[in-house]
Amino acid sequence: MGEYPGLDAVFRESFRIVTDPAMLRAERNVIGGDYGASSYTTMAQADELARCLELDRGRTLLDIGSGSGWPGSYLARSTGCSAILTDPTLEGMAVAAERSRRDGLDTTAIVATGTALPFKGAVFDAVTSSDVFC
Amino acid sequence: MRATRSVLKPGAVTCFYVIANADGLTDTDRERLAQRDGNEHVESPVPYDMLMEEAGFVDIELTDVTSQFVKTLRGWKSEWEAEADAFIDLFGEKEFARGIHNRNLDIASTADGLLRRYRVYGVKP
Repeated sequence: MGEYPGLDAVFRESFRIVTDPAMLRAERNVIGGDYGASSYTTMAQADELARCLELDRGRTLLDIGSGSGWPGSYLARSTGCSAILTDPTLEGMAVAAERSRRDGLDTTAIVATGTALPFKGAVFDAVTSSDVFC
Repeated sequence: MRATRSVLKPGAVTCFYVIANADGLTDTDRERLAQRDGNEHVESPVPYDMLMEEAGFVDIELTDVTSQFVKTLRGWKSEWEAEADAFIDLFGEKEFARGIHNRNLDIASTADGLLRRYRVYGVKP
């Protein structure tokens, strides 16, 4: 990123927002997470996704429109599954990748839209998303 | 949904949350909902489970989670209002005002029976 100072500024701003104490406080109070997300999916609802999708170690989840990693990174952490996170925003995926690295998770963050997924064939055990099919 | 189906292994499952117009709305109601700004949502004249069926899923289940959605909308609104200075600093005054306005509209749309949030489940055959 050093060669692209404009991008550095965008990423710094994204990291500033998702790590802001007020943002994290609100997120914990409203949905129970600390991913810098302003989602409507609560932690209890994310746990319900894990149950419905039968997520477990050895299974691969695709989370479409994962933003800064909620709920895909959380599901990878809580169930041990592998997760591919996608979002149209490079900033969101940079934040999600950094969080996954910090948590030591088996996840990959890819910039992509839900209608043009960059995968060949039927490769996922489970697919989820939160409020992205507009 | 078709893109989702194509990347799932046979027998694999999708489960997700979606904000959509309520089933059985009249054209007038759908127009009323469309004219409100609010957060983005799926606008469809046919029920969401039919959309899933058309996309090739089976064993489809729709669970209405609107009451929790309203609690979450109110929660975000109340948190933003309680720390307005901090959120204006993060997002700017215009975006802050838009965030509050959209949540108010969605709360009103759910109260009017126009907007719903569902958990959707389906299996790829």
